[in-house]
Amino acid sequence: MIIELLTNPRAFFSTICKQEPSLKIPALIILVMALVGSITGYMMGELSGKLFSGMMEGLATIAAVSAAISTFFSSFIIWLVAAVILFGLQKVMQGTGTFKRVMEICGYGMVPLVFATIITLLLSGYYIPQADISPIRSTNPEEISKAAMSMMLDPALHEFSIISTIITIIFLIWVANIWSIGVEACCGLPAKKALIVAGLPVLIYIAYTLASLLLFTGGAA
Amino acid sequence: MRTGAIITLLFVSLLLVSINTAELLPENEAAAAQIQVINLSIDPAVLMPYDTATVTITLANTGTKSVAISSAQMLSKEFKVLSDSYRKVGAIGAGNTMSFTYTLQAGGATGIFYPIFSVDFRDANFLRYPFRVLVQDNPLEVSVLNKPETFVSGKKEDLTIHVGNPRDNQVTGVTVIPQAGEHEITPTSYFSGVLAPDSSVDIPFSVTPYGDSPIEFIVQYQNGINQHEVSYTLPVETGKKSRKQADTVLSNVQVDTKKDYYRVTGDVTNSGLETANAVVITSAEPAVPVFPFKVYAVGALKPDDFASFEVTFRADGNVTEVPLRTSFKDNDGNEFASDTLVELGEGTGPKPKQDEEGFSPVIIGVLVVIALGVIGAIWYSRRPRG
Repeated sequence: MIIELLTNPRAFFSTICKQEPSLKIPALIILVMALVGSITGYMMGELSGKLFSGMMEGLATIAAVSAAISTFFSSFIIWLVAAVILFGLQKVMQGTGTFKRVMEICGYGMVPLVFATIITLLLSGYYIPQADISPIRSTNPEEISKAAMSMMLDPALHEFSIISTIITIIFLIWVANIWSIGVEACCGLPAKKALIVAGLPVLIYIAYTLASLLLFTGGAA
Repeated sequence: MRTGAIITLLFVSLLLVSINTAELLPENEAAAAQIQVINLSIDPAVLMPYDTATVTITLANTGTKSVAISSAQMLSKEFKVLSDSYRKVGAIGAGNTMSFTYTLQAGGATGIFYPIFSVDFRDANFLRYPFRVLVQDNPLEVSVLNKPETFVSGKKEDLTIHVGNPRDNQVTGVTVIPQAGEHEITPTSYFSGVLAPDSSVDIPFSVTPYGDSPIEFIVQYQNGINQHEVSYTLPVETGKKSRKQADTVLSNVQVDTKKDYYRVTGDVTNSGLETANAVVITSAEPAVPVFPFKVYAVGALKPDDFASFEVTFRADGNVTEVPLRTSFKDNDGNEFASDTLVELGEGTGPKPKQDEEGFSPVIIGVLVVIALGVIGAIWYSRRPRG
């Protein structure tokens, strides 16, 4: 089923469209993505917590667990937000898909992001141990801000940020491709309009991500 | 010739007889009997061997007739009378007084002695007046109170010199003068003044030792006009560790290897009984301290307190141990330092700094493969199917 989604999405969505919309499998896909992503979130949170570990005992663990939980739930929120945007755009383009159908397409279309999160997890296992984070022992807000910025400028984390962003962008293009085929097949839109509905939010997201990366890391490594 | 000699002898004999009968006139005897000693003072009241004292004796004529005095003198076997005898004194009128002052010097013996004041009246007998003089050989007692248990070179310590007077008379001009030598001692001398019998005085000193030479405290004082001194030698031995002194101990030490330097974290504990101020930790040779933590200032550590620290340094690859230098100051500002060796371990040195310009070819290759794979997947998913 998933193989067909990736290799022949048009046939896959043609079959899906004939059935009642169901969110069980898409939710399962998002759950896997959320679980894998939360592991990466835990590692990053632990690293950030080290920065403040000098101020309070166990802060690193608290930060790690908080990051893992927020990453887990943010996967579902992203799914919901993407579905809302796609639903709105396909309505603007006079599509016929219901919100549940669009959410189903959106969920199926995020399968490539599961691969992206797995690759990101592997990369985080390689880069995060290289990060040189010294705990802050001052309570001066200025020094804390400086230390947080220096964490982002750490060579290992800098490289990791750029590579994970590139990987996410690559897989988002794949996601946009699946979404456009799904919208075309299930929402009664021509190929061009379906491409705009799926591609526009992804393009905006890619532009936003690249801008954020340049802003926080000061450019390429 | 013989007749002349006999006449001369008779004349002298008659003269002597006439003189004797004239001196011992009953009325002169009665008048001389009214002479009495009304006051005797000795300064100092109690002598030390070889001390010089002045003795003043006052005579009063309580009778109604004037009494002539031929001479007055001081007689003693144990004391040397330094002043002259009174000769041709004159007469003491009725109701008058007359003082006689002598200077005596004690010999080496101690005890109670009785010199005699003798007055020779004209035409009457003598007045002999023995009086008591005490000679004691007990100087001031000097001891040290509140001495630090150990001396540390350069560390200021307080001590108290205790001076007691075991004598039966007061002493004056008590001054304590420490012989500083290579040490710093304040005050350089201390004037205490009069010290009454069976009393004592505590004199504080601050000593900053710079070596092991002993300190001699000389106590100078006067017994009457006689200058005396007694000394107390305080041994000084530096280098011994004080039992109360602050002592820093490093524990929970962890060595992390960064890209081009070492990072050592741990806890520093004050295991002494005094506060360690301005605790600072850094690395020493052969290590070269580097930022971000060339030096880690912990601040003050009370006894049994501990604090975390972090230092960063570079070291050559063949260095296996690096000393961490912990320094602190005591309440007087004296600085103390101690080194703790930290093992770096072999073969765990900082990795050589990687070229930070651009990604590694492996990463670029992986990204290209992923990109090509995704492009392939997109192309495959969109290809026309029959």
